Amino acid sequence: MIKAIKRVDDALALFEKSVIVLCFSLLVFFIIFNILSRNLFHLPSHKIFEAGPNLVLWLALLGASLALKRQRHIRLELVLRYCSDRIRLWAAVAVNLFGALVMGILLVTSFEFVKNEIAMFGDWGRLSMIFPFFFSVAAFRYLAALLYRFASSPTAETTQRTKPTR
Amino acid sequence: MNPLTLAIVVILVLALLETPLFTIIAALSIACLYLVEHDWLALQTILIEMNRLGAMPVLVALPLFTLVGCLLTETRSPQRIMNFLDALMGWLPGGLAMAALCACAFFTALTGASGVTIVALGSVLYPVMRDKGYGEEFTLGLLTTSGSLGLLFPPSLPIILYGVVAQVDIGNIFKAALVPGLLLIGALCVYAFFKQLAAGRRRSVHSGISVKRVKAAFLDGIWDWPVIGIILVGVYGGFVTIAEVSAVVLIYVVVVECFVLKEISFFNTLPSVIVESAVLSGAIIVILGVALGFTGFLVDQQIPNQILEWLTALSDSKLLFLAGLNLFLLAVGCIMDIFSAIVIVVPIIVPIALSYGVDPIHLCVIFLVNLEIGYSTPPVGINLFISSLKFEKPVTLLYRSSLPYLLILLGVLIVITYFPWLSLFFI
Repeated sequence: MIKAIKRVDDALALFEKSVIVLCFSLLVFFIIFNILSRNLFHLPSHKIFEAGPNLVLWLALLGASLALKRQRHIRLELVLRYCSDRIRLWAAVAVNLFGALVMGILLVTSFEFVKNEIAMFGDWGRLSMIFPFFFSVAAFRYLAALLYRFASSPTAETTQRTKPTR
Repeated sequence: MNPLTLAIVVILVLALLETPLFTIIAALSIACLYLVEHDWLALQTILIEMNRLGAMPVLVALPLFTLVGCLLTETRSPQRIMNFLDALMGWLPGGLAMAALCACAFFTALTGASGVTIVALGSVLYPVMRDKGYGEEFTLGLLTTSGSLGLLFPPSLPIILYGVVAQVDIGNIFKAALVPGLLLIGALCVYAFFKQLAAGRRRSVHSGISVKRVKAAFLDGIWDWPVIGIILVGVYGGFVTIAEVSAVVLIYVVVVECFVLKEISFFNTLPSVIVESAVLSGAIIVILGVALGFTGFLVDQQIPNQILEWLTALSDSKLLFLAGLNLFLLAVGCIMDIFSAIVIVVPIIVPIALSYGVDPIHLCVIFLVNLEIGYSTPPVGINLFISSLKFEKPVTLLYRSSLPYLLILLGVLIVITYFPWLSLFFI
């Protein structure tokens, strides 16, 4: 079961990485296109101006989702460094269950939100589908982290935590 | 204890158990919105506010500058810049230390993350400085505290984020932060100069400035200087927006590093660096997203006003308020990273500071300087632990080593706080 979950987790990560690279490329292309069209042809594009921050939102949520897989999220690292392994294990259980619960609540909320966005903005509203995607993957990753912890088989990426947090 | 208080206590305990901060803030938002209004629909506010990020054009600069920083970390660019500064200043007493301070400031301005600076430049600078006779405590203190210098220079990510959160013009903040930033570096350079002068011997192998060496180091970094030029002209010139500057710099760095210097492989390394930078910026922006709902709730409930009333009952002196603010922000800098602190603390302190007559741009400079110092303040400043891990030294040695630098930085902080014209000079 752990292997199956890990495969799903890795497949999701691969999808996220591909979309991130695509979003970054589009973002840079849009901005450069906007600079050139404004300065050379005096034609600033409002659509592009609006699309940029939306791409950033996608980038940010996909990046945040990957950060969960790599355990790279910002956290208050004040207490656990002084605690025993046993306390750290139970803290991880509490944290992952709590994280899955919070993401689950936001996932349910996001369904209604997406429906409203599509009703109001038509096809542009579909851009907000990143929210249910992010919350569902985040909830999945919290639960997966819990299983990995008990199975003591961290994923390759989880063990990559070499760079310091800010 | 009412349900809301109980929920907040439980969430804060989970924060101490190292729950990711974005989850903590999301949980606080859920608790506050649901337990006050008892309506599931109120939770939509969190998503509406997160979606509002998609309408902030200035936010575009954040992931792009993060990518620039990540790309440069992968190259020899920091070393080339260090070599040039060493050639320029290394012949002075404490010259290598001054060069190290400037290099760290430059690198932190690009990456926005002091931890990364200590790890990336520390491994280069520590052995070189020790080799040239600089004392262990002097070197450790310098590398630990200078890891956060540079947050006041363009294209500092915290300044961009502060501008977004506080709705202050980012170009003006960069102009205002220039003199205080130079003052901080200048004060530490003076300390390094006199400390090494007092040591009685020049630490450098060079007897004087070598024009030939400076020229060679300058030419070695010939492709790096335009990065600084584009950023400075873009930010201070006002011809293009911050987001556009970030895109132009990014394209320049990709072209130079992938096709001219070939230090990064376009197909093999670049995609993974892009993903790495998305992870970094995603971890920051998602906190901003969920915090918008939470801070909106705080403002709706008039929490800043209540704090203000309580404070003014204590004292209505601006000078006392600024002193208290500095102590509070130093404590915040010790326990929180700068991005979370901006997102959570700024919406609360801005209205309070304004009512005390503090200029919003001056407030930004005070805020950032405090957090810079807080990073290295014992007992829990994060730079101390990063240095302890990086250089494999006991954290108590880092406390001792950082102390002289911290005292100097605190002195400069007082000057910056009580002489606002230093910050508002260019505005």
